[in-house]
Amino acid sequence: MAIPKDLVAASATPLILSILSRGESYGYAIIKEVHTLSGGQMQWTDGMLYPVLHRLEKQKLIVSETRKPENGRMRKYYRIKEEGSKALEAHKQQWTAVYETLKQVWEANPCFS
Amino acid sequence: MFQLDTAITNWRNSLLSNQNITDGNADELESHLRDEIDSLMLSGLTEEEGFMISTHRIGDHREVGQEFAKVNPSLAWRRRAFWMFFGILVSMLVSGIASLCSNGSAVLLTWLNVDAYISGVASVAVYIGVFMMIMFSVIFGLSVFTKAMKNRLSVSMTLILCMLSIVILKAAAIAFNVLRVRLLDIETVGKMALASSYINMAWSVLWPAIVGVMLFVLWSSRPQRVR
Repeated sequence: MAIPKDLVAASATPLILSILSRGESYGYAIIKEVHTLSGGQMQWTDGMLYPVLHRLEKQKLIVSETRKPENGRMRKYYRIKEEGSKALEAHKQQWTAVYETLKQVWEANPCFS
Repeated sequence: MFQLDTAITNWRNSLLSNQNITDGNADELESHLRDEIDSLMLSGLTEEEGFMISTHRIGDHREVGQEFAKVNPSLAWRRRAFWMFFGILVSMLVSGIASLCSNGSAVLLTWLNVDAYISGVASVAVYIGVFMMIMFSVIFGLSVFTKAMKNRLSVSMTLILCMLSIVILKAAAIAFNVLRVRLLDIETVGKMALASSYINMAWSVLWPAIVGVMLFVLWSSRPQRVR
């Protein structure tokens, strides 16, 4: 089951903020993590992640730092900020609300097909 | 034979030809591409296969560029403004070189005892000729030139060189004029100035017309968006 594009796009911001709330990371690692977490169901066009990261940085929710790790190549690392954590909390509430709503409907009208 | 670094450089250049993608964006995407190729090669793929798959996963340049444009909408306009001001600088430089040649020819003709009217006309003719020649070679050499202007160092070097040359050329022009007034009698200087002023007037009408035609030609040859 592949998750449709618009849902992937809508969940990009909370997903990135959640991953960064576990610790700093860089684009490639974030994509790999999303892939693993979703069991391959969430397919991103890799290039589309970066504009999202840059927008979050512009909104001051995350900060970036370019550096070269030992025996690695030059990378841009992203870290979540205080504001980003607050935004993530808001996202969590919104997604939970959506999920709770759907769950109630589904439980009230069980689907037997 | 597949050359990975050449392939990546070409891919990067094609990415940078999109006006919404900066050097920094390209660095980040290139680092991503190389990480992905490394990991695909670890799972047994060749460099070429790794490259093909990774570039496909990163996505279409135009679509990626459009997403970047949403983050930084003013970037494309800043780049256009850069080229506009750069054009002004180049035109100053070219006119500096042309007036150096024109002054040189005026001095030469006077030294050869050519009539003041004729040498006045000739010096402006030299100016126009040299100006047009360089300007058109710049315009037609533009594709080579923009390729050379890809990295930051070459851009700043070009800008600094242009500005230095303009300052030197302007200083030379002032020196020439002082020399001419000092060396020649006032009547000869006056005759030369009179003769050149007529052609200068014609030039002041002709040059805007040429620029207008050039703009029209370049506008109609711009790439059409494919739908």
